[in-house]
Amino acid sequence: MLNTIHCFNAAGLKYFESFLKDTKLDENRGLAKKDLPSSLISDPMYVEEYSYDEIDITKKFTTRYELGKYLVDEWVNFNKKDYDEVGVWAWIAAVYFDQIRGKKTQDWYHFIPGEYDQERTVQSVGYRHAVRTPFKLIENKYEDNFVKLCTNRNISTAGDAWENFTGNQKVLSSAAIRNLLVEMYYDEKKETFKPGVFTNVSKAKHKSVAGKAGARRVLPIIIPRVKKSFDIHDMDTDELIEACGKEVQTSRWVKKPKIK
Amino acid sequence: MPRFSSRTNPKSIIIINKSLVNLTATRDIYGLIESYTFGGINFADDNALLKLPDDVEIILEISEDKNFLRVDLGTKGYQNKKHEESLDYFESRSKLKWYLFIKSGNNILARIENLEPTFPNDADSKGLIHVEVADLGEVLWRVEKDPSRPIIQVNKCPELDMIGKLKEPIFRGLVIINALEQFLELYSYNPIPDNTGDWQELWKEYFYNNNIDDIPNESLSDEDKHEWVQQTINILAQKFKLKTAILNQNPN
Repeated sequence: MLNTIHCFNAAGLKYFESFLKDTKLDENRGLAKKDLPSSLISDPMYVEEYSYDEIDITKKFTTRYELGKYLVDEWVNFNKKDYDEVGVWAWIAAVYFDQIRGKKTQDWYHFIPGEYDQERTVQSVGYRHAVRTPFKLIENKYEDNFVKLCTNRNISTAGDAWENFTGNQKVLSSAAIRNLLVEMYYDEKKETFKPGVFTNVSKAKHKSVAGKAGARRVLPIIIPRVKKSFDIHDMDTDELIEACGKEVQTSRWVKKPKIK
Repeated sequence: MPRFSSRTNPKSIIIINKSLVNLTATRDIYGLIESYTFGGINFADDNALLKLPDDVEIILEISEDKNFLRVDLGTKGYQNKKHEESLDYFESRSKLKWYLFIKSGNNILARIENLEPTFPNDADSKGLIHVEVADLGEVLWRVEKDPSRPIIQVNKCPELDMIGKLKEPIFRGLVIINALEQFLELYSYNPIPDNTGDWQELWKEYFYNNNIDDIPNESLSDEDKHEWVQQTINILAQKFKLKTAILNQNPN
């Protein structure tokens, strides 16, 4: 069912925020999830027309990547200023709420952009928005495999790659790092990250290879070390892998050269 | 004078002395860093830097947690000076890190990590303790124990004016010694500076000038480190006389 894109007004945002916090409180007490009133997305008390572009409000998606791609295609009159319109992103999240919502309802800033309540969100959590982040990555033409690496999980989950990469400007601003992450951690068949990428290194078991050269080693430890000797900005993936040293070169994440 | 270490600097990259880099910054009315000015690198006063060819490139990377900005500062032969460049791009601007390097191709030839701009309008900017305002929600102050540069963060709420309050004896008494203890704990685990001008060097100079024993060079147990911190904090407390300052202010 096609519907023009709307946005929540102040009352709508407040209602949606209260609903999200109330249901989470209930769930934490062991009570059942509350249902979002289906009329909320069309109630003139809470919503306003925002764009002439239309979206199918009954469409089903498997992943947030699919959702982002669909919205980028349909929202043809999108303007960069729209990124700052909290109400429109919250409205779209409400439209697809039942799909995005996890087994336990996520924190409110997965549905309403974090900047809505700066007083109570000490850290910037804007990147956690379930709709705006995949939309932004796709609309800004990040490499398709990188976007899939971050957002192509089940629509009701964000996942470690989303959490670790999509809010990190060191990743978003460096094609070299993004290409490295895709080369090492992206599973082309499953179109998402490989299992074990985010495993922590065991401090107790020194001989264990678990977590070695994984994302939790490469981004916070190995890359900063490489950057003491190299400007990685213009490096290609092979050069960067070589600069990262033995841990990365010999890891399970790097394709071994084929023996001719 | 460049320093080389085969362990931490196997490629003999020139470590740039902080005094050779003209980097200043200004603050906004809330105390947050607002803009920076790059006035150039003084290549003439360092033989190793002087020998670099004119076409080596200068890059400045400014970062804050997950935010990152890369600035092209030109070449040795033609430095691209910057004047009051806005830092609005960064959200909190309370924990900015500055990394300047000189490169040829992908190879870094010279670098200075943890470069700190000076604040011409800020009398205490070269002190041992750096205070920055930050979005701390309901928390009034905390120590950001970053091994590359610890800072006291105070709540940015303008009505609270935490920076102003830190000048009052009662607030100094409540905050400073506890913060210093956290600084010294961090120091006891990270006493060796990576670069000229790092925060540890300032502390070493302070200890030397004030006849306070620095932490011994040999590796210490956690208990011994803790004991050194306690002894040093007692000496500092005696020196600062923060309780006396409060009593003198309120004789009754």
